[in-house]
Amino acid sequence: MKWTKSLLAATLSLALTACSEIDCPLQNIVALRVGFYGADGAQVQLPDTLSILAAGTDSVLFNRGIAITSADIPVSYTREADTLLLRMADAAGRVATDTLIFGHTNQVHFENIDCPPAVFHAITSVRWTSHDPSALPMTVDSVVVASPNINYDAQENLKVYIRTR
Amino acid sequence: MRKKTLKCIFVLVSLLAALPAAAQTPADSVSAPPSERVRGVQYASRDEAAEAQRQKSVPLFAGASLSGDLAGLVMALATSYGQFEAAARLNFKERYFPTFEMGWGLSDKTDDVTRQHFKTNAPYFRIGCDYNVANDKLSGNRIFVGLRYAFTTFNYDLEGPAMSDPVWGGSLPYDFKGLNSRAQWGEVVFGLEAKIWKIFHLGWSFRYRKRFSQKATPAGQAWYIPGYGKNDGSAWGGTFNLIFDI
Repeated sequence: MKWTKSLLAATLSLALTACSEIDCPLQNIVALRVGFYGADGAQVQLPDTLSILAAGTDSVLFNRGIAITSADIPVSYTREADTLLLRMADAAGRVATDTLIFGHTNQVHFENIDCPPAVFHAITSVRWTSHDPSALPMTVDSVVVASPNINYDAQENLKVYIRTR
Repeated sequence: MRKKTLKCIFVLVSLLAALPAAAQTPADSVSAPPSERVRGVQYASRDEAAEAQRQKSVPLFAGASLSGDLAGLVMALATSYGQFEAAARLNFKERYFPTFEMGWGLSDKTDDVTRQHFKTNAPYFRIGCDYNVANDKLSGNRIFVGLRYAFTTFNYDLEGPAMSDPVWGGSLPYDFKGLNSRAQWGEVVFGLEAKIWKIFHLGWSFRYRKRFSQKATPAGQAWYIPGYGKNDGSAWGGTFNLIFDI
């Protein structure tokens, strides 16, 4: 009898202390992280103003960044490749645009039933154009894929090497 | 006169009949072996009694039992996930209890806020052994510690509202059918069991679980693993069992 009472008491305690919690990641932004590098391979602050636009839409993805070293850019959920227009402007009012095109996959990611789903991507290819330095000295020299996976990890995905003269 | 004579004869006969019985009683009480008169065994102290109990021989194979998990059953019927689980257990010397548990885990959950829907139902299996640490192993009440190895393979469906792209436009369908996953894990078990009536026992177990591996699908990890429970950071679980000896 003593055992049965102990058993029931323990069961009741367990039932009363049962709880649930929402377990969503704190870092829940999915974006392409682009880092800017100089010819020597070191990360640089861009000397001019940079805006990044989504080609084919009226969206400005990154607006007038000054002296930036990196930028986070939203990736499309449905396209197989995104075209980014890198619009650079200097203090003298000169403006030039380079194009960065990267192919990617799109995958719905489930984290928890309480948390909003996300779309993860993997970069499959990258291409770019460089404008004539005579129009504006700062231009894209080359682009390298640093980490293809675009997810919650917030790693640098593309290294954009900049030529400034 | 005749009446008096009859009365006298009745008294004499009664006395004569009573004499042998009265004469035999003390003689029998002396000659009978003491073991026939004593009911039960008395010991000088509790410790001595417990030691004597321990010395009693228990056969190597002391029986088998079947059980069902009532907690999982209630959860399966009343909440968005649970399991129908049964277990078979052998009893060696009232100390070692090799156990095989199998069940059918099921989940059908839709979140009110995110509108995501997760659905699965699949079997799972556990194998392990309990050790009865109770001093009085013959009472039918047991205190267990034990280990389990568990595994499952299952398919699940996952769906939700289409993912609308706020920047680039368009929407991505969110509808997966038959995603295949599998998992294996271990459990450290602590449990109590009480004999309630004849062959019936009631008991609960408290379990710490550790995933060894799980297969993630392209959409991520499953929300619920049959037999394991919610696939979140919590490592604790338990059962409430009705057990009967066979």
